[in-house]
Amino acid sequence: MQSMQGMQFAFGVVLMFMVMGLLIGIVALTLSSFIRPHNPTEQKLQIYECGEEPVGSPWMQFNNRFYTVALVFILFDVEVVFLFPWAVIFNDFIKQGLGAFIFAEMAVFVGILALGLVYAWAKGDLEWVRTRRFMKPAAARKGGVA
Amino acid sequence: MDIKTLLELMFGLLTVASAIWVAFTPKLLHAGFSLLFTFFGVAGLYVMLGADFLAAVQVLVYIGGILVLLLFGILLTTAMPTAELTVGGTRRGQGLALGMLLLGLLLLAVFRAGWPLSMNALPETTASDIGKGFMTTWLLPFEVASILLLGAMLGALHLARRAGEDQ
Amino acid sequence: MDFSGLNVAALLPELLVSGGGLLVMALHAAFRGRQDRQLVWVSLASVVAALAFCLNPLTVEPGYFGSALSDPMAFAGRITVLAALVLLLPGGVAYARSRNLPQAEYLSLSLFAATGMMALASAGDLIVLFLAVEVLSISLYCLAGLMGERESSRQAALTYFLAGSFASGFLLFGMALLSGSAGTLDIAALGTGLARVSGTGTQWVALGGVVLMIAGLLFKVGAVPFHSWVAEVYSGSPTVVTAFMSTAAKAAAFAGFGRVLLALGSVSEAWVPLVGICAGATMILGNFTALVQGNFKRMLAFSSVAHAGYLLLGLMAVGAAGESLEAVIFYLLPYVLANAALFLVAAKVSQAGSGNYKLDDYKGLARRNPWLAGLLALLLLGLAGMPPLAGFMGKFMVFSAAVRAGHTGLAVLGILTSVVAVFTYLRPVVYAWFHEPEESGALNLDGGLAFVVWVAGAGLLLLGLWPRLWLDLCAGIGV
Repeated sequence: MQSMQGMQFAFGVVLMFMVMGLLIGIVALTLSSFIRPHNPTEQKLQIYECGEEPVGSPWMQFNNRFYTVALVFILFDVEVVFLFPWAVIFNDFIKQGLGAFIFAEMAVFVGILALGLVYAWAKGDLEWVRTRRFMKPAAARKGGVA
Repeated sequence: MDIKTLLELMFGLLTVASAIWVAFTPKLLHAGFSLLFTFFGVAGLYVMLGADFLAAVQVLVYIGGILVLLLFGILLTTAMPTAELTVGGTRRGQGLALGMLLLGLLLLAVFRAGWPLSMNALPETTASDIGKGFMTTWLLPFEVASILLLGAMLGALHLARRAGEDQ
Repeated sequence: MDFSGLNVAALLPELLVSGGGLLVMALHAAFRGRQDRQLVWVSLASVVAALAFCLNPLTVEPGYFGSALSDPMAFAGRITVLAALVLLLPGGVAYARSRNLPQAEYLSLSLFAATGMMALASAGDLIVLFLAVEVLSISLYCLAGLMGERESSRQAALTYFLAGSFASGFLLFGMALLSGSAGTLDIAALGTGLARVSGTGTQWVALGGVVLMIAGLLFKVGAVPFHSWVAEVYSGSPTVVTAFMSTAAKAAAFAGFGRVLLALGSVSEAWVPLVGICAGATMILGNFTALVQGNFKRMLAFSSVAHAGYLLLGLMAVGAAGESLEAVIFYLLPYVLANAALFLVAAKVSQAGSGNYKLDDYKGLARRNPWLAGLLALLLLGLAGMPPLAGFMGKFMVFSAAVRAGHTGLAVLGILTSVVAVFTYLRPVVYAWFHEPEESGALNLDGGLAFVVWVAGAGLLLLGLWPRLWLDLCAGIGV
């Protein structure tokens, strides 16, 4: 039998953690369902929304900013993914005297992506309530606001 | 059956079942959430195959990033979350034929191919090899990737901005 | 560790162009868009600097550990892309300004796309090839949707994105199977890698990979049967973007395509029939659909499908031993020059006329601006392949290469469909010279557009009369 070891064992711990987390939730709710009173009324079965009566459909449109922020987030999410293996080997390269070289390589990479953040910031994409400053000069002059 | 085979089967089943759900549910939002399990199952398979870094990337980027963006995309579009998709439709035959062809090719690749670069022993961790690759042999793809990401972000921000202006 | 293989200089043109794109973004952000009018000069400076480095290469050694080559193919691809940029950027910025499109985004996305195109033309391994395709595609998806308020532009962007992503999937899957079975990512080594596995089960996997890759690339160049996106995307995108797609992007895609097929010459019996059928169908469908269009932009779109067919024929010749990519390399430059200029002319004439690219706008153009009508005729006839213009030499070289490679039937088909193409291209010319104008008054060109049209016309004539100039220049690099 091939046993799990090393890397896979480490991931196995994570998996066990997730399984346990899931089980605790399920077991706790199942057990408590045996001893709790069961007495539903129409009022009790209503959706609880902080004591307020729910009005309208919950499928309302969210602010577009969520999308923009998620987009910028992905950019840096991917950047972290690239940073990780680089960080792992950084020490090896320093020992070989190539620290400056791979530092420069990563600086270029991070710099290019950072420019994206600067751009988004300068364009006002990260502001929750946006007043348009320079996206469309003609529209802005006429007092056009998003 | 040892535990490894069992886990592989479990992850494979999770991936396939949730992928089928993604393809055949008429509810877009359900498809989006089901994709979570597909991505997770694939990440599990990566771990079983010894690709630890790829598995971490799968969770970090696909589940943590792309799926979130995808769900935002659905939720941010007024009619989308409740829209009923037509599943199947007129091109079902063509889709089936293409799918079967690709499946055949994959089966061929799995059962008949002898990969010249196969390794006898898996490396313990892959991150340092990948890092070395990025910094040396694959430096150009590494830097091109940053331009790719930047261009994609620039364009997507612009398009999102346009969509916001329409209201 | 040995870093002599890094040789950054081999990639200097790409670095300059992408640097230009980054600088445009940074300046736009730094000045908060107040200096956008100057950005076009920054972009042009980077393009011209890249051109200068291409023409006077510091190195012919491959750079980045074999990822970036500088051979004749790479040289020709880079020059073609940069030439298209020089012609299109000034006109494109004027177009963007007049329609209130964001100039900075237009410029930086164009430069990023050009980076991808140049990297594609000089890609030494499959990973760079794929990433380059993605860089150029993603930039072009966004450029197609630049005119966001217009439904057709949004639709073009979405169609292009969906079709393109599908194609990228095929391309990537094919690459994975191919490089896995050949045991290498190095494009030039694919042939020997495949020879090693021939006769085994792996061979079939590799051939499946080849077919998928070719399908993905056919998608990207808009050849039949994967051409359905072309009409909608080309007619819906802003015209300057369409011009960029149908010239530089196509040239780069063919350069990359050519490089892959050149490496797969040893398994040519597997892909030559496939590409042959597609080439024939593309020539027929492209030319006949272009013939019946009443819209100049759509006519150019379908004619570019037709040209993809001729270029595919040129690529097929590569499959046979001994044929080089010379014909394809030569075909691309005049095609790019003529098309870029024609799209800009189309935007101008349409703006002065109906506003929706009707062929009727060209009626009586000779009365309103004889020079423009003359150059229009020159450019269209150049595309049609009339001697002594460069289009003729391009077609001649492609057809004779095809005959030498044993594809006589397809060459004859190419000649026959070229006759159809002549009718297509003559229609606006006849309208311009032999019809009464619907609108009176002169149609004056601004300096930038006049420059583009004259340069393209002169280029067509020059390349047609002395084709060796360009070919010797290409051959002189990297040997």
